[in-house]
Amino acid sequence: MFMSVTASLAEGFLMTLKIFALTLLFALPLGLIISFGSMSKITVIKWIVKAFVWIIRGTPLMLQLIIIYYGPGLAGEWARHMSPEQFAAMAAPVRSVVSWFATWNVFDRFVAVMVAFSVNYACYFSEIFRGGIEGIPKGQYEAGFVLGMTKSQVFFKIVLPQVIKRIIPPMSNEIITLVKDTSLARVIAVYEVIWSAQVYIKRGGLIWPLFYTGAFYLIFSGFLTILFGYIEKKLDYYHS
Amino acid sequence: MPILEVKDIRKSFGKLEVLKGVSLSVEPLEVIAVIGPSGSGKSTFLRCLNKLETVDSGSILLDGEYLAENAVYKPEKELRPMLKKMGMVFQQFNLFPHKSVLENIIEAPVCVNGETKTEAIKNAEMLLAEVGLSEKINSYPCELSGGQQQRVAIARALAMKPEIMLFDEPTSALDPELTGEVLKVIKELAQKNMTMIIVTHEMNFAREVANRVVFMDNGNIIADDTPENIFSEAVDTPRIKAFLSKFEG
Ligand SMILES: Nc1ncnc2c1ncn2[C@@H]1O[C@H](COP(=O)(O)OP(=O)(O)OP(=O)(O)O)[C@@H](O)[C@H]1O
Ligand SMILES: [Mg+2]
Repeated sequence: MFMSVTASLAEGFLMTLKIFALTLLFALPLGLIISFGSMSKITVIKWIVKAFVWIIRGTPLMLQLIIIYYGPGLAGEWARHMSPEQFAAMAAPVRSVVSWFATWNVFDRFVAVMVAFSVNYACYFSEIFRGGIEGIPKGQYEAGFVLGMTKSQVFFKIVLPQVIKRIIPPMSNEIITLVKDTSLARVIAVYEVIWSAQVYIKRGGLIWPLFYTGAFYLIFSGFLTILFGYIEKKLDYYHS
Repeated sequence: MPILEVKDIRKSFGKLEVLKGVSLSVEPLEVIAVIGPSGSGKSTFLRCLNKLETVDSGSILLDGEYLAENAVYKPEKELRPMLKKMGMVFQQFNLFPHKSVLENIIEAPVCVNGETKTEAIKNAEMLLAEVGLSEKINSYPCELSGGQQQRVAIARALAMKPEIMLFDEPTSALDPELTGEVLKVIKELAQKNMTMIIVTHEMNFAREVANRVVFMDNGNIIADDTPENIFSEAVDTPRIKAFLSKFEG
């Protein structure tokens, strides 16, 4: 029994890991781009990005997940069921948007999870990046500039390596939170580890597999804690 | 032909006009000390030369070529190779903390000038010997004293083989007992015929090393003369007299 529960939880946990890894893969670079937007010298871009980050960080990930999963399908339904008179009464540009909506369907569950998680975490990461980038003294940019480096050379060779060191502690907190947040995927019926344990409650009234999932989370977040501790130590060869 | 020619540059920060039409012509081999009261625009002047600040009006020529003509700068692509000819040393050193001394020095020669790594390392070793820091080649900036950091910063600037070196108060952030080692390196550079503009509050150093002293006051150059004349008792400008009297004793 124990072995078969372990096997099926492990299968669920594979999905957990997949959500985790892909979220990092998409959210880290996207977060960097969003952080550039939130520091943009063009005021309009800056405020649009800041407002977006505020909305994403200010609402629950669970809600975002539900909206992204059901939203497109609902918009499609609404557009397809519109009466011809109603449709004809609209201005031409609105009509073309509505006909585009009409082609929409429910997202694939997994795609919806990835979109919601990536965007949500990118916004959190962007704030961490922004703090890290703004903490680099102006003199570092100037030193690079007077040595003839281009803006991108200064950013990738001088600024970013120092930013990484600065943001490891807040990043590791956020990333460990992500491990646990993956469980939210089950609200749109993505089969992850907690779901796989609940199956046992429904079928045979077995509670312990649910507790057992905790061990998976603990081991994985413990591993990450050690990994980040190691990286932090690795980057401890200098201080500014 | 002058290496550097500055014609009537003006610079304001908001409503505050910091440079009020400054002109200066620098011949090869000249060592110019820029002195003057705090807030008179010395740093701003230096920073305008290599576009760390952009001028509002006036022109800057390097080797007879316009860097900025009537405040219109050359496009970035043509500008960069010109700016490289000017090395700069900052008051706060601005070494790259995540790079070792060697990496600090070879970074730009390799990634900007396209030198091979071997070539760049060889040159860096030579420069470190000149500034007396050969044994610190693998240290990190945080492991060095301020004076040592500033000497590395000088070596880093020299590694780009500049035609002219700009120093903005290179010893002002140092403890008094560490200024000597940095000034000695700059003095040796002068002996090796490097053209330099040095903003400094070290009057003895200016008198000893410079062959020209420029006095800035309130956004203007109000005197431009030999150190003998500027530091002589006979100087007839009250502003300069008042300023210099603070350094006596
Ligand atoms: N980036 C800036 N923004 C606004 N004001 C500035 C800026 N940089 C300099 N200033 C102002 O310009 C004036 C001249 O400054 P600058 O640093 O050139 O003087 P300085 O002669 O180098 O003085 P010090 O001897 O104290 O270094 C000062 O009033 C300063 O406050
Ligand atoms: Mg200054």
